[in-house]
Amino acid sequence: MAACCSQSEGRAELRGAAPANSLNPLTFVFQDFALLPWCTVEANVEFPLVHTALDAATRRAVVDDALQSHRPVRISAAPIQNNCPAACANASALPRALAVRPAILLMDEPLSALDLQTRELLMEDFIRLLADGAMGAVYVTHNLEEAVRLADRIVVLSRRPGRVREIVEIPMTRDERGAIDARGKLLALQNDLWSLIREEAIDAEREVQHA
Amino acid sequence: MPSARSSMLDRAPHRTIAQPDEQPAGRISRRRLCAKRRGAPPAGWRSRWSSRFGNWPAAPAGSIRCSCRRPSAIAVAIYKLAMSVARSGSTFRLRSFRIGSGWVLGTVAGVIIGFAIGLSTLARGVGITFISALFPIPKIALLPLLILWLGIGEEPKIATIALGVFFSTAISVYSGVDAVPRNLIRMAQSFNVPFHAIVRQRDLAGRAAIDPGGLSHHGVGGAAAGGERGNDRRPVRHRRVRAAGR
Repeated sequence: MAACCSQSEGRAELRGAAPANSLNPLTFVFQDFALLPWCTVEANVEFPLVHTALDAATRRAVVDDALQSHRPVRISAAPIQNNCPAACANASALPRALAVRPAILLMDEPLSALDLQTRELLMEDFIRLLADGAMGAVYVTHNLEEAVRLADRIVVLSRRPGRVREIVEIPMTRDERGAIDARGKLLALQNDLWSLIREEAIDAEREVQHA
Repeated sequence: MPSARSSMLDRAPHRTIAQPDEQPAGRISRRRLCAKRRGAPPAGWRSRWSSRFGNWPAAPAGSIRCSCRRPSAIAVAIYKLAMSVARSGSTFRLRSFRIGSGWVLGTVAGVIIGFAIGLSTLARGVGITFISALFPIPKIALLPLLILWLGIGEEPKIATIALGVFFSTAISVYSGVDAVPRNLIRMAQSFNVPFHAIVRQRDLAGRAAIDPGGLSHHGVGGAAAGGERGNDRRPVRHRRVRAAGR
């Protein structure tokens, strides 16, 4: 979908026109964040803008806006280096993706490397970002709790070769999912999803053990 | 009849000088043993140190002089060497030109080929064969083979230096390009960053940040090649023949 590799068959189509001010309609947030370790946080956020038609002042404004609209972080002037904590890396990767004003955000397990508290905070950020409906997201995860908290529609994929096994609609809005009485419904959904993938998870575990 | 010299030797008395510390091998004198038990340095340590630094001011007069020079003498020798090199300016210029031009040629070609192999699938398919064959061989070991191929003369010397630098540079650049994480390329591609910008941002900056030893590698190769060629103006083949005893 992000055109990182060519498809073996079929094609992905974007329904409707991308927003006029979108610099990169399909934008990827990588699992390992794919930050340039020799650059600062600001330089990383600015990286996709450098090659656009924006002038330096506009780029500067866009970077500031992206950094401030996301959870405010303490910006260091030093390069982030490879040993940057996951929360710090996420604080650079998400604003970088938002700086190009995407139509659809493709996210590959962006919260998998984070601790529980940071993950909760970032999930709230995602819910806020998706609330106005201006931006869509495709979110890949193995975490069923994240899936039922964030998704409108969950596509359950099989093991290799990846095929669509089932599409599960979540029958409530994201705002409703925050209520206490919704916890039971979400847990039931989570159990249904787990029953769909449990056998395959066992097979995958066996495969790893005998590898 | 014995010669006059041998007869004189025969007549000379065998004189031995009695040394106070002289002991049969394997035995320690009572005085040294007592000193060792008291924790004091064994007798004779002064003489050992003075024999190592015999001509330094602290050494006692009459002790053995050795080749270890004073730092000031070393500095004077370096100054004299530099002056002699400066006096023979033409030789110095010739050697510098030879080493410099060979280094530049080898480096430029190595960087181009290394980048091509690192960036292009086609160039990698062809170049990786040579890289795989040449990588395990110490680069300096290729130089005698190159000397056999190129023979004598000024141009072959430059070409030898250039080739000596080329292989290590190409391998180093290719390794550097190849060592940069693929996810950075995919990230840049996902943002529609142009190819030349990916190369500039990812490879140059990334290489400098991740593998700074790479570029120094070919510098060492160049220095080795230059050192090998720079110490003698005569053709290499002449030196090989001389070394073989012919």
